[in-house]
Amino acid sequence: MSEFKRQHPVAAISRVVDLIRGNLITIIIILVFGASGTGTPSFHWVFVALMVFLLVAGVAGWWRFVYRVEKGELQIKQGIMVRRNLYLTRDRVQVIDVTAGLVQRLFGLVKVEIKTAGSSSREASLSAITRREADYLTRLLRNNGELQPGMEDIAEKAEGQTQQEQRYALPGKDLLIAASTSGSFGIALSIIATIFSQIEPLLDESAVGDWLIQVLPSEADTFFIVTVILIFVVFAWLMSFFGTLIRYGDFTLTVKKDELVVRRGIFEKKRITVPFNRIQALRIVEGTMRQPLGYAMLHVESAGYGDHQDSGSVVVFPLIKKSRVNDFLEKVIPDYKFTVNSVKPPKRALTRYIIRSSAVLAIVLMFFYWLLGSPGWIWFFMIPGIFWGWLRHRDAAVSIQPEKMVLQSRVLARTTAVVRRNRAQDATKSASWIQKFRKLANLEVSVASGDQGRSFQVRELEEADAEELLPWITREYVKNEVVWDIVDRPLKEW
Amino acid sequence: MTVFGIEDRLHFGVLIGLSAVILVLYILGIVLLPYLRWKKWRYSIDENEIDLKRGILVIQRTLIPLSRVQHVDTRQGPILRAYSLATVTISTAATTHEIPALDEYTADKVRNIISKYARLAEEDV
Repeated sequence: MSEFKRQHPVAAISRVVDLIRGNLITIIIILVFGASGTGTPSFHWVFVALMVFLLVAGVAGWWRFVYRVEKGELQIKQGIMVRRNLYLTRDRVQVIDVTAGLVQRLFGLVKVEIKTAGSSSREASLSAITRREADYLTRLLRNNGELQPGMEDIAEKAEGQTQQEQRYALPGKDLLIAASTSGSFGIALSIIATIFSQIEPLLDESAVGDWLIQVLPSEADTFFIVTVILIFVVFAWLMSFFGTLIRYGDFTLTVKKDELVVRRGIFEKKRITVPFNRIQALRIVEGTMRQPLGYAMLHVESAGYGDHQDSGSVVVFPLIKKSRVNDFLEKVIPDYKFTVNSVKPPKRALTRYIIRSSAVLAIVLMFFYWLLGSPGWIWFFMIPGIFWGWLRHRDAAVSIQPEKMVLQSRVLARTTAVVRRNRAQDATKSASWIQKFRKLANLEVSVASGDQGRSFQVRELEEADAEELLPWITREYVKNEVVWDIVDRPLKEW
Repeated sequence: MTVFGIEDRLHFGVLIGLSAVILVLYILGIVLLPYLRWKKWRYSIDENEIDLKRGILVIQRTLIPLSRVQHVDTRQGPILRAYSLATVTISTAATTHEIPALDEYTADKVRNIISKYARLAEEDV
């Protein structure tokens, strides 16, 4: 294979799709402006021009993208105006992921991503080639007899008997629970709002609008408003339900000798490989709707390989009973099995948690208090804010084990992060002067994740505790040496 | 009395008062705060860790194990160069920290020490 080749023409389409996705915000802004500025067609022309430009850019990008494999080295030339040459020797190749997006699947093609070691890995990706071509490529770039995806389907069957790997699938029932409790309302609501803002001017102009105005009560009474809100909520819930279903449908986690392989997605098949030695931290997220039912989602922070382009977060299991988490970790990533012996924020920190959680709410309520003519009942709405603060105080905790630190905190969902000492990048103790005066401090630990980092913070710890926990990052933890007077207070939940 | 089209005596007073407050804050901001910030900055380096302590209103203390240091360099903009100062930048896989405005000699020394310790620490691991 010494000649430079182009990808399948479908690559041009998937390039355009990528470009549209990348410029989504610009497009939405133009659409919104175009819709609001009625009678000025120039905005629509801007939109059309943008689309044409993206189309041309996509096709040209495909035309200028050539690749070949020469003596175990992948060579890619790309770029429309500025030519970039990417040469990748096969010794540096660490993971080859073969996936198939919706566009690719329509044409029976695959996408090949070749990832190298190093946290800021430059990755080579071929967005649409035939499966045969992909198999051929992976065979050429195969590294030290390591199993490669193209061969894997055959190899996996053979290996199934030799007990080399375990496989965990998400049962259908659990998928339904995951979908119905995924609280990604915010995203869904914003999408609906965008759609609505598009439909609204149409309604005004069309006969449907006239009809609606006749049917609807002329005065917007409470019942009407509540109904509209309910419809919105139900619609948002449905969207997040199906979104999760599509995203995590057909989920399997395969545990191999030195890597985890996540496969998921109904329409767009995703395959994410996480080598064990790239895992930086474990994150257990209990969503607000999942926590009461005792369910949690497991994420892994990895350096280099993530769900998205620039994040290192990978969902290793979408839904698991919290009581089973430790058994699961034992089998999958035993390094991250943990116990909880918490250092918790002291009682006197509760007021600060409550103030922080309800301050904004209080200001909003004050405004309404003034607006509605000082009704006393309005202050009952403070209760959720105070309750939220109380929850955040209750759930904040740090546990320490010889090689691990467990940081638990809550924003809306309760997050438990397990960080190994040899993966923690730095630790920070911080205190504002009010905190200093009240002898409180925050503790924050950072780990690498994707190209940047991610940090986990627990607020309002006893200052002395924070001071003692901080050196954990560099020093060996010796159980009897340091006096952890509150260490053995067990946490009920775990 | 008419000053800038403001006739009312009270409004004039408010204007003067606000200007005075802003002026005082401004002077504090460029005179006192940088001084305090500089005075509060502390760093220490040994073969295990880099210890940074800083902040006036929010006091922060950061520990960076030397085995996590990926690279360290000194930087110098035109202003710093005019005063023969340099900033040491320490990068880990997750975060970047700065020790701002050391004099050139110290900055070079700090950089070399960190880089030496980092190499030693890596060999241990």
